Amino acid sequence: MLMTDDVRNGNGLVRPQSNDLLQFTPSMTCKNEIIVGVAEFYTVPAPQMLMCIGLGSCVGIAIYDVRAGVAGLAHAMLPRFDDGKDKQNAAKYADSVIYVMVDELIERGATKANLRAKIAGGAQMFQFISSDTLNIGLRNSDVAKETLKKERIPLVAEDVGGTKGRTVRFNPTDGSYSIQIGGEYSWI
Amino acid sequence: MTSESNHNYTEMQLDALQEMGNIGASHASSALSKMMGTDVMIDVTESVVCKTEKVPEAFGDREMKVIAIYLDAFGVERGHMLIVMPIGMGIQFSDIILGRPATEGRELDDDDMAALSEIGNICASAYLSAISDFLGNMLLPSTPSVTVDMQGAVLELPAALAAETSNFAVLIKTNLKFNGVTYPGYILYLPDVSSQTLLMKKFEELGL
Repeated sequence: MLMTDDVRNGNGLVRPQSNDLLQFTPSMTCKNEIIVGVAEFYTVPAPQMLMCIGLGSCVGIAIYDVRAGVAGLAHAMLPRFDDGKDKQNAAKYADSVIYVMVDELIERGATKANLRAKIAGGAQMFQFISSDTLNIGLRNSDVAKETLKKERIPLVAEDVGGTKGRTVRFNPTDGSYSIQIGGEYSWI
Repeated sequence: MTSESNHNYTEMQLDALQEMGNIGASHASSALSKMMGTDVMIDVTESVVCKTEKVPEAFGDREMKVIAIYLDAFGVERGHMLIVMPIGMGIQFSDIILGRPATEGRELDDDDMAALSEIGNICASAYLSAISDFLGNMLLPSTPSVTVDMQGAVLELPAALAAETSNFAVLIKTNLKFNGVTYPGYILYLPDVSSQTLLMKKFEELGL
């Protein structure tokens, strides 16, 4: 499914140290890749891919059930729904988006007990003097972690903080989360 | 960025915001030109009102690597200012300010970052003082903070900060042109909600 012409012709990067069946290469343009915009979330069946471009202070929350082959990716912008101004869009906040996404995943056939989560993002793009109150990135990732704990969804991996923006891709087939910072790729 | 998303601003008010942005940016560019001893030109100003979550994708390629200088604009509340430029333009600016021979395509070092934050400082001070004069209310820039990253990622911060107080962000954007750099840089100003109200009151007084 993912073996597009690019890969066959050797134009894509080969995923290092992978013993997975799918050779997922981040540089290849995959037709069935959904781009999750700011304050949006999508849930999809495998092998559909999900990605967030340019995650700065926002946090990319991936929740998945490999056995059922469904996954969701959210691009949350602010930490708490209760503190937010916009009550129309639950996908804007790191806590409320987890609730709605979990509901949708279960509707798609996931089992709550099999759900796992990975998060990335929440960078502090600019250094400030009064960093604590302004560090939205840190607040976003903290609230996401807290909410996952409350929902009893194990957080299996994270790549949060730092000062660099990330582009992330989630693969529901094997639950791999690729993170691109500048020209460098890593997988969690 | 359609007209329906223009919240409750009339075309007239948006034009007025645009004109205000023009005045701010022309002060900024002349301050910058004076400091560097060469001309930095400004292009037309655009003003739009859009949902805060649309800000990061409002200016095209989210993955493009840019230099971004962020400043708070302290007025009644906290507004936001972002100066974004392509890396080539930033390097040219920095070389001129530091008096180094122009070298294209090099990496940015600490001196460049210092020079760029000075550029941010000067631009923002000039821009905001021009608007302060118009508004009759003091606007002051914070210490600048510079980063080199994806355009979409740097725009997420002002978007998130604006989203904390409002569903809609007012974006006033002026392109900067310099010496054959094809992709323009820009100055972006997001006034806070109170400053927006003050501005609208001022426009009303002027009969707009």
